[in-house]
Amino acid sequence: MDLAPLIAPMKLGQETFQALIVLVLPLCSFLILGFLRNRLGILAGYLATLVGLVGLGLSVNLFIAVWNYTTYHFRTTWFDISLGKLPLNFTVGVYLDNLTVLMLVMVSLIALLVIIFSLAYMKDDPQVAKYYAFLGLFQFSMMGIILVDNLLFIFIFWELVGLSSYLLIGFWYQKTSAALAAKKAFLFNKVGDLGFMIALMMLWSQFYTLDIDAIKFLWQQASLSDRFTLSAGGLSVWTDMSDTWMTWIGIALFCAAVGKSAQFPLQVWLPDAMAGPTPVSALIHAATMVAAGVYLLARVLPLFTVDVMLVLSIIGALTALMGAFAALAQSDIKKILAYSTISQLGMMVMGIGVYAVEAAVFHLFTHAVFKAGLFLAAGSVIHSLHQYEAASGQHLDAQDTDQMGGLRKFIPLTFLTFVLCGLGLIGFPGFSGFLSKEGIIEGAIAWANNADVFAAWLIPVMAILTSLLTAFYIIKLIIKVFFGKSPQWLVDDHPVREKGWAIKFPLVVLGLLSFSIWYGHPFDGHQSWLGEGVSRAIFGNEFVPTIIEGKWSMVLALLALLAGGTMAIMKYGVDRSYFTETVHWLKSMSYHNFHLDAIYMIIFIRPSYYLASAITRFDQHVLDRSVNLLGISQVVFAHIIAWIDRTVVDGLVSLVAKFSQWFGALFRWFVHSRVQSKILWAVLFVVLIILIWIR
Amino acid sequence: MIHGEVSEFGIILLFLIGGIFFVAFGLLTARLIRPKRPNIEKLTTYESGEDPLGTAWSQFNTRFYIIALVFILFEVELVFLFPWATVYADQELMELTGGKWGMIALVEMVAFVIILALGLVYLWVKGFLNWERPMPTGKQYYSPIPKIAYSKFIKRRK
Amino acid sequence: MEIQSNILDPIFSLSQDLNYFRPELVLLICLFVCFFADLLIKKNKGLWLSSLAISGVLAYLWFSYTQFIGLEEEVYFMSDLMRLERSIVFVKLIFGVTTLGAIILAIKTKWIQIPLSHTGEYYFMLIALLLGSVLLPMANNWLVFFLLMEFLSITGYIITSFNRDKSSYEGAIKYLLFGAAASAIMLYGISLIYGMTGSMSIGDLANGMELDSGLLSLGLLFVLLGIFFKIALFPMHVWLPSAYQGAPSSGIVLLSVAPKVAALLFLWHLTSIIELGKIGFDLLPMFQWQQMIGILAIITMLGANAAALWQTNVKRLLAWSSVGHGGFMLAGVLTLSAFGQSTLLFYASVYALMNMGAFLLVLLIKKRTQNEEDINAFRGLASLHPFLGVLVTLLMLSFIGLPPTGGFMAKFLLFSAIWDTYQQSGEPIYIWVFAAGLFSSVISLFYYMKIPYLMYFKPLNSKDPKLVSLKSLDYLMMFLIVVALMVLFFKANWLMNILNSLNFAL
Repeated sequence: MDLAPLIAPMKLGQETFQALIVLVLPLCSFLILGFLRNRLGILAGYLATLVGLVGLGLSVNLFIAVWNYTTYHFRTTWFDISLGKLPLNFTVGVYLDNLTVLMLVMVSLIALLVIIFSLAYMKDDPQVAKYYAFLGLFQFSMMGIILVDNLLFIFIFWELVGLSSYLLIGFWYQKTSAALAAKKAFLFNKVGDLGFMIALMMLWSQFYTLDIDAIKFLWQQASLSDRFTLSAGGLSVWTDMSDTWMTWIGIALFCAAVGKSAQFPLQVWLPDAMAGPTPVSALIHAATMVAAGVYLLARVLPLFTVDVMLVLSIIGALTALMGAFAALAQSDIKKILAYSTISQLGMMVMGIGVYAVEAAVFHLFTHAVFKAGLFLAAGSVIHSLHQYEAASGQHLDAQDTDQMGGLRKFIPLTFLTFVLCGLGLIGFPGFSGFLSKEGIIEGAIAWANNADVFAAWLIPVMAILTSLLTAFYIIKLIIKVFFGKSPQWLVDDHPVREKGWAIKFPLVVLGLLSFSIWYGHPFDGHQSWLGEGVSRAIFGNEFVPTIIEGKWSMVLALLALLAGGTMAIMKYGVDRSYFTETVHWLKSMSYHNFHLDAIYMIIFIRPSYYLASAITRFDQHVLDRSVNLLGISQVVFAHIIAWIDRTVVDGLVSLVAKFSQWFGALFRWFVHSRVQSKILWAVLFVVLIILIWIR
Repeated sequence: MIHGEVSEFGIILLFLIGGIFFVAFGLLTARLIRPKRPNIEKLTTYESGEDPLGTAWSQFNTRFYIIALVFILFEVELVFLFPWATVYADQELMELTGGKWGMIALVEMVAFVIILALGLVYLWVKGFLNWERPMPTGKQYYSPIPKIAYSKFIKRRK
Repeated sequence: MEIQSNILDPIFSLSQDLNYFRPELVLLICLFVCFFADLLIKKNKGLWLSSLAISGVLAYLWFSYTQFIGLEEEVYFMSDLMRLERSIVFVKLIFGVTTLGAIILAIKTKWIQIPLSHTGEYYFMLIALLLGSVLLPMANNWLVFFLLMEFLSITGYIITSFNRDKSSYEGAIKYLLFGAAASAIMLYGISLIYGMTGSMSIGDLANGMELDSGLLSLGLLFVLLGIFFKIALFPMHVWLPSAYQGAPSSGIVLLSVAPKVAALLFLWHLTSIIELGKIGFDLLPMFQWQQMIGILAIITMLGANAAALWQTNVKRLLAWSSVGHGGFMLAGVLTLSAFGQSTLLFYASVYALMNMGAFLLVLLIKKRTQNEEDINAFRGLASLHPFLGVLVTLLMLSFIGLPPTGGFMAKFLLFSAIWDTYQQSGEPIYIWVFAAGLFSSVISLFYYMKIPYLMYFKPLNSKDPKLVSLKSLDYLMMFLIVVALMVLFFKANWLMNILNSLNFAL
């Protein structure tokens, strides 16, 4: 099998060029806003909106050109590290297929809506241009992950996404919590990225390329034939391609997804990341960046062995359940949504693990829409409460649900959006979440059905439990915030209101998109055009339905949903006094997210500190002392050398200098004399020359 | 020398010897022949009938040099003109060159003379030939005795 | 009639011969135009004259350039009185550019103290000096050579005296007296050579060698002394510091480059003839000129650079530096290889540029302090003009021969040429020249760096009431020069490729 044709350069077509423009547009926005941030002021937001609009237009255009029609691939050689005759090229390129363009449209759309929302939300921030610039950087990096055809470049953009996430979480870096959260997010992501790097190294050692297409093709060939050899430029290279290798590669790649998509055990950074501006949470920490891990898994799916898939489903299910459970006891509106995001990401990963990939990606898309909607609605609540706070002069925590209530009368549009998106999230029939989530649960049940071990049924059970809890906490949240009596602090003369088209427009769009009618048959996920297209991108043109014909799964899911919803309404809808009363240790467990932070503190951070201080002590008492001793001896030695230098070397130098001066003076002396004697001297020298050379 | 031919330097040497011999011969014969009766008047240096005063190594006014230089310039020009005149219209050369010789010789010499003439004109226009007279500024004598003292003195004399 | 028809040759080939003189004829015409313009024009005289002079030199440059392109091999013309080869045409270009720089300096620096009535003469003399310098390397006849040497000397004396003050006259008269002595010696040498070879043609020098006569060597030595006077080589250098101190800065820009390089190129021609003459004979009748020139170059380099250490007057300092650079270039003549000539011409180009920059600096400082030439005038100047400070530092680095400047490339190439010659011939004199060159470069570091040192590390003499502040336009030309020097460092190939294609006799 020769490597060279697989990674041969491919021409830049019209579509791929357009994709490059879509990629570069946000970067331009970042650069322009970044450099002119002091001059632009309020204009920055409109400029970013304009760029976002153009980007969305181009993305939709690309979507129309590619969707279910064909794929486009552009590739060029970046550099080569050829060893002798062995040509080892690093390539880079753009790859467009159904999955790519779907993600492209999703990111462009949500980003545009978030930017529009920010026009109002961030209006009073002094550093607003910097904010939009960072958003541009984020969008550029995210587009990069989606578009490039090469794992190395995905890694580069992956890191850039991490950076922009760090910058945006810490945007209000004056707040200690924001700065700490940014640091935490960055470091936890780094742990996952370590896995990515290891995966890259292992992949290179096996395939000698990082081009995804080429790797997929080679792996397919390798699994078909027994004696597989790989050659590059006529020389065969070592490769093993055993299942063991591929399992480790898969797990290492999954590590990256664990970090970025906040899976167990690295999920703790996401709730803290809510310290950033709410629109940022909507874009990055709900809809797009955290979905990048799922997207990566979908892209490299053919490389995963059965064992990796098992790991995926276990971790995914565990994360889903843990996230849903942790969301129960939170009172901060954004934290509830953050845990919900973790839970839903777990669902997606689990969906991939149980081979319901198209359902997982479908869920990725629908989740992006309704979770962005939820976050923006939450943002609207916070914003209007902030406005009220500023107007009335009262002090209140605008994110604490315990202090809210009855807001539906004041901010009806936000309420409506929240309800619509919330119904999407819990998977209510007729809403988008219903289609996608049902697909995942069906896949899980089918997977458990096919598995030999009875324990496999744990996975669907956990999924359904998650579904139940989701319904419970979302309805609890809606009740707490929008129903019931208005809180005591609310005074009538300063009404709480949502203001401005910039806030309303994104809410309306996202609320409407939460209906399932847009995605095909409103009650049957199998007939959705989106799932079919994604399936085509992943499994090729033959559409293989992986979902068994068993409606009882849907019945189960609906039952769970109804149970959760009813419990919530029963508990909180009638009497609000229940709020503070729960089983004590369970509540604490939920509130502290299974005490993961504390556990990490005990297991990892404290030992690190102890180790560090021990090393410091060793450093100070042993190493430094010996270094000091060495230094002192050097100084002594230097003094000796200096003495030699002064007396011997300097003496020589000054001798030379003295000589030069003396010689110069001599040379000058007969210049300064009278003309006659000058000529006389010249003649004398001439005579000397004659005496020496003329014989 | 070995072959009995005289080299170029030999000719110069012969000229030198001849010159020295000629001068020495004249002086020597005069010395032998003339009567010798010196007196003080006879031994003084002759300088246009004036008594010589001081050393002859005195500084001359630089204005003399300009005139002298211009003079020498035109003397040299003349020196060049004489040999030129002898070959200017040489029949043989004219025939050899088909008449070009005379033309070129004429042009060259005219150019030479014109350059020198231009130099003279330049000097003239720039005023270097003007004999610049020193403008003596009379020294005012300031007497320590006031003028009134003088007039009083004169009055008293009257 | 055999001899006569030989004499008549130039008459027939006159028009063809004049073709080779095109650039010089342009200069001649320019000379006369300037002359008449000086006499006739009354209003705006300076403007008219300078623009005439500049356009004349530009036309000259254009003709030299076409000659450079057209010429392929060495040619002899005017009955072998003159000769021409591409290296000579190359230095014509260098001289032309230098003259242009000198004229621009003379125009730009209105504070220069030349009375307006003399400005015409000044341009006239600059162009005359240029004319003499471009003709000198072309000489192939002792008489022509002597004439041109005198021509150069006399224009030099006059330019030196142009400042019309005491030091100027003093320098000029020293120059004149010393020059007269040198001319006399040289003329005597020429007569000796004529006596031994029986020919005025320089190419016939080899004829006299078979006589194995000390007189020929003596004659040659005397001629060499005349040439040394032009290069200002020890022991004929003594006139130079006073002359440079007195002369107008714009004049020295040309005076320190053109005659020097022209004489060096002539020396190159002469020594290559001597070497050619030697080939025929087993015994070496001629004196060991390499040894002699080598030792003189060593003394010059060391002595001049050491003497410069003492100077506090900027112009005298630059004068000594000029003597030192003459010594360096003479070391280039010693190599007598094609590469050596390339490096010599490279050095000459760089030197011309640096010199222009240095005397521009002198003018700037004189403008600032109203005629102060003391090195202390530079004190703390960098705090007022930081950009000028950078430029001056770079310029001085170039003088020392440190990167990133053309001066470094020039010295580097020259030394490598000397080293090559040493490798081939194995004569110890080359290694001594090499060592002396390096050592004197180190010495030169101290006095060149004195200027940036004063500029950066000494406080400003702000109390001086006479100070005139400089405008950035004043040192635009300096900027261009420094940029050119940097280009010669980073793209030294550009010039070296041209120089290597010069198709040398050796």
